[in-house]
Amino acid sequence: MSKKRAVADILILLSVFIFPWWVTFIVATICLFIFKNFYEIFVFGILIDILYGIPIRRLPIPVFYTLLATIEYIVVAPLYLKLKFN
Amino acid sequence: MKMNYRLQNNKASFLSKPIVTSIVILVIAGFFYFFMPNFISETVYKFARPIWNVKEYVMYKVTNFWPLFTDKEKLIADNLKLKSDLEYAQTDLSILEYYRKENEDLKKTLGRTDGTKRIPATVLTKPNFSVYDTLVIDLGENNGIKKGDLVAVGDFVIGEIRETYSNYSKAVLFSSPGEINRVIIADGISADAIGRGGGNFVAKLPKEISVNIDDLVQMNSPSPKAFGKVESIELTETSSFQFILFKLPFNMYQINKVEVIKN
Repeated sequence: MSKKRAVADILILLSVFIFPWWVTFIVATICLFIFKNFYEIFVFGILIDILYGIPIRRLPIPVFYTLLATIEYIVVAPLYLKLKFN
Repeated sequence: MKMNYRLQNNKASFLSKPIVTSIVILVIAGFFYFFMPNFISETVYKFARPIWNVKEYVMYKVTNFWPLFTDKEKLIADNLKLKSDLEYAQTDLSILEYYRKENEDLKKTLGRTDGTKRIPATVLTKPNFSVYDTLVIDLGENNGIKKGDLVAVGDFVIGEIRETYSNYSKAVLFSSPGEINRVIIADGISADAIGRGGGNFVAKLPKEISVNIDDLVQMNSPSPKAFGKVESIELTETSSFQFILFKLPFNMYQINKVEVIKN
C-alpha cells in the first residue's frame, strides 16, 4: 500500500468520527477514482452503520451505508480501469 | 516503437470482479454482524470515544476564540440584550418553579406520583452525522439504561433508546423521518405526529378543529410530556384537512446534554 493511500485511509477514518457522513463519502468516492481497488470504502460504510445506525423497519441490522458503499464500489471500480486506459 | 493498448478479451470478467469482491466483503461483514454484533460495536465505540472527546475540546476552543474577530460594539450590544432577556427569563423561571412544586405536591397528595427517575447523559454524536437521525449518549447497560427508556431535554421528550451497549446507547429521535407518535395538540385533540427530521413534525387534522400557532403539543405520558410547539398551519380551500407543522423549541444539532427517563 502506498503512503498516499495510507494517509488517505487515516484521514477518511478520522472523518467518520468527526464529520457528517456525506463528507466521508465524498472523499471516499474521490479516492475510488484515484486508487485501484479501494476496498476501504466498505470499511467506512460499515463503520458508519455500526456507529450511528439502528435497525429500520424490517431490516434487523443497519445497512444503509454498507449498501451505499457497495453500490459506489460496483459502479466506480470498472470506471477506474476505463479511465486509466483511456 | 512500443504500443500500449487495452486488451480486448475478458470483457465479462472485467465487470464481475467488483461484484464478486463486494459479495465476499459483505458476507464477511454479515458474519461479524450476526455472530458477534456487540463485540464489534463495543470495540468501535472504545476507539471512537477519545476522538469524540478531542473533537469536543477543539470545537470548544474554536468557539471561544472566534468572537475575538467579530465587531466589539456588536458584541457589547448583544451582551446587553442577552442580559436583559436573561433577567426576564429568570423571573419567569422562578414563577414556573413555584407552580411546578405546587403541581408535584398536589400529585403527591392525590397519590399520583409518576415514579420516574432522570439520569443526565452527555451527547457524544449529534443527529446530523447520519441519515438515521440518532443520538449516541455516554450511558449504557452498566448505568441501568434499557431499550424503550425516553430521552428528554428539559420538559421536552425528544426520543427513545433503541440500542444499548455496556457504556453507550443509541437513541432514535421522535422527529426522525417515518417515526409516528400519538400526541395531544392544544385542548386535548389526539393526533399522529409524523417525524420529518431535524426536530420537525407534521400532524393531519380535520379542518374544523381550531389550532393556533404556539399551541403546545404533548405526549400522553405523566412526565415529561411536552413534545413541541405549533409553528405553522397549512390548509387549502379544497382539502378537508389541515396540516399542523410543529417543532421542538430548540436546535436539535446543538444539544450537548440530555436526560434519560427511567420507567
